[in-house]
Amino acid sequence: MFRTLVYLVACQWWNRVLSQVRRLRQPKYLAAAAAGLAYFYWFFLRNMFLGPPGVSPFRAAGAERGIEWAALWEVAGALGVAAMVVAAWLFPRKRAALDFSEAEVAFLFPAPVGRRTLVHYKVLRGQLGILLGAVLMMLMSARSTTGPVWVRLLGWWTLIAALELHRLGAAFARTRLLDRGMTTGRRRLWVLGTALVVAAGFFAWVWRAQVMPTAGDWASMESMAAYAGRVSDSGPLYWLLLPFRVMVRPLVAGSGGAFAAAIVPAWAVLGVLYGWVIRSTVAFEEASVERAALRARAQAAVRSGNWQLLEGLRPRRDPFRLAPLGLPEIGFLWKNLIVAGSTFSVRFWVSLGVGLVVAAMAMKGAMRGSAGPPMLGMLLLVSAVLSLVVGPQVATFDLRQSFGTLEVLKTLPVPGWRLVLGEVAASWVVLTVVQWFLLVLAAVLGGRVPGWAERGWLAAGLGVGLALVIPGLNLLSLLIHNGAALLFPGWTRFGAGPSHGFEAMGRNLLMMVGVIVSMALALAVPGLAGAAVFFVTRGVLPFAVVAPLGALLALGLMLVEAYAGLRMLGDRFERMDISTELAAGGS
Amino acid sequence: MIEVEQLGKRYGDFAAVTDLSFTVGSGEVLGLVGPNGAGKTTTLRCLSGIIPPSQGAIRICGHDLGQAPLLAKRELAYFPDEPRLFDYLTVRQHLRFMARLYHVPDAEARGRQLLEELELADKADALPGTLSRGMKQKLAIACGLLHGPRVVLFDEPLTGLDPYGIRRMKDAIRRRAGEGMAILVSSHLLHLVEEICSHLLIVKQGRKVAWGPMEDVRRQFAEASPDASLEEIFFRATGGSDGVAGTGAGGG
Repeated sequence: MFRTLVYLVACQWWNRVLSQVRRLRQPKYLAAAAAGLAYFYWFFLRNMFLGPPGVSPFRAAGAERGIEWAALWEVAGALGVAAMVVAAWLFPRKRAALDFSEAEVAFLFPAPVGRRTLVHYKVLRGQLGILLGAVLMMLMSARSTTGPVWVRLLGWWTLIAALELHRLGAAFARTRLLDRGMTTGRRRLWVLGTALVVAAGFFAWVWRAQVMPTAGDWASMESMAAYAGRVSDSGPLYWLLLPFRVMVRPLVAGSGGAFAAAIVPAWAVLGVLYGWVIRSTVAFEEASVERAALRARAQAAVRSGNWQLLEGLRPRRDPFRLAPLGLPEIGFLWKNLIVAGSTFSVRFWVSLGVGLVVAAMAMKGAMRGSAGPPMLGMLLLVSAVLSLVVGPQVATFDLRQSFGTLEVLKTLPVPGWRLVLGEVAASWVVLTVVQWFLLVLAAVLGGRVPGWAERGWLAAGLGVGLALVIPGLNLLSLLIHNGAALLFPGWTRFGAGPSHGFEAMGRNLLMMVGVIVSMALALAVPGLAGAAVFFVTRGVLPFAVVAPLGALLALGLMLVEAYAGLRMLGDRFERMDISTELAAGGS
Repeated sequence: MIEVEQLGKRYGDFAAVTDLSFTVGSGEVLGLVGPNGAGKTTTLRCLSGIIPPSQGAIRICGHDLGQAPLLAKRELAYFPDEPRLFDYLTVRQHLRFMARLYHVPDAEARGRQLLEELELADKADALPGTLSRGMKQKLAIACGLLHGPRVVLFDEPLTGLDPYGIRRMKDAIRRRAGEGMAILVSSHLLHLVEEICSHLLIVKQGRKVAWGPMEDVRRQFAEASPDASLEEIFFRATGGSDGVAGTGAGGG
């Protein structure tokens, strides 16, 4: 039976790799994989294999002062592992559940497969993920550990596999305790009590053995390191941490020989943990079925971009009364404001706006002469500007969240460009209102920033100018993000084609570059035109007028561009063949 | 009301639908049947404007779906086998949204009437996630019927319905046809098709095998047994043919 399950794992893994490789026949996936590989090589592999061994500056400085880093890492790592072990007994509340997919539940649970075999299967199935985790950790810790690459890789694999086995064994043991009547609260009391007794015993030893740190021990990094080494290598702490140090030691082995000596006891611990898990299985089926359903729901939520689905939804009030007749765009705005949540109702924002402006004015009055309010104002201004970049990526209550209902949208009697406009309207309105709101608050609190007081009119003009271009910037940015989803549905997380590894890494990289380049191109003409108006008219008109004038022209041009973009995306939406675009992960 | 001329849909080298022509008139209920992979859902998706056909023309109430898609879409309602609903909108909010998109002036009254008729009135403030499969289906139907379409396309309309729901659905289809709607029902349930459809379209491997009034098709394939069931006719029509378009009882 176990061989059959091995066959299942191998087939799934191999077919997944094959499908990923086959996708590379399409240029866009090949480009993404190439970009991902280049990025991976440039930031990780180049230094690891081809360059001089990487040493962090902190580590180099310590080595110069004669600090024994390997020993300290071993102790620090052991303490971390010990904390994770305690946490596995302390925090979880639910019964033991193994991570099975819904297909595995449907096929394996009713099949004549024993519990122990299922656990074997899960342990085996988990190894690929553990290995990937080990590679990732090896890459991330490349500059803070020494020794050959394979030593670090095997070290990380051993440690992560041991922690995973322990997590599983602890889950089984907790479930058994629950079945025997020990409540979660009582178990936590026992764990905390034991931890407290151990800690008290350790401090008593420190006190009695007169190994309390002295002022000299705190004097320098070398003395602190020496003290930590002394305490951890003697007395009860040494024995307490020994099992955990055994697991960490292969990681910090500086050579093949040191690794060989360290790995034998570590694998012995691994073997003990494995035996413990295999022999202590409990009824995990019911909780596993629940977890599989939860996981499937989470995957669907992630795929659709609707993170809120994870928490379970509650009915939300209408943001405003939607009349049955009128512009369809308002209908989409209304729908997506409901998606955005009750936080974005008109009443909420008006109340919040009035309340905060009054509070800001009161604060400014009370703290007259203080640098606090202007600094806060500057912070709000910076936040408003930053949100122009981050906002359109975060506020996704638009087409990006509507991909799950694309079939319905396609049947609606609404022209494509008006549908796209309607879909982005909620994100556009919300972002713009939030940013205007931040600007108003910044204006109320600011005004006394050094160097700007005497240029009050210029500051006011620039502020009004910024407020004027904000809607244009947001609309263009949102259209570019939504356009990317429409033009390359298989490249976004909303498409049906899952991407992994280098391809996903490269795809994100290329998408980011594409968005930046598109935005730069879109802003070139409005930016230049606005700046030209500013510089030409500044000698003729007052400052308070020239900036808004330039901004108005820039806004006008941005809206013209946005209209052209909407027509293009609308046309794309109408012609889009969702059966090929989404089913095959894009074409 | 529905006119389809030489419809074709290709996915790369694969032809999902080839050279399909048929019409559905006012008050007619056309049953679209065929084995798995025959192109039934692709045909329905083309008719509803979800996917563009590779060739041919589709007219809904005289409006060419390719040339005047908005006018055509205003006249039709499509109900997929799996209801697609907005996770965040309640039942009532779904109807309000649809009313706005289809410009339904008396939406409140019509919506209330539909909810009553479909026994959803007590679920007006519920989210789709809290509804059973059958109730979701009813909500999709309420949304689709709100604007009073003249053409209705059903893909497996009985999936997930309980016996009461099945009976109500069948009655509703008959009643709407009686009111003059043109209805197309795609289903594997041959007894349903036999019971409610006035016309039949049999497709296999994307091609038309037979089309026409139910009795004409029955006569064409009944051979020696005139009282043959639709099931027998279906197997004779699809089993004996190798995917080559039949002449069909009604021609076309």
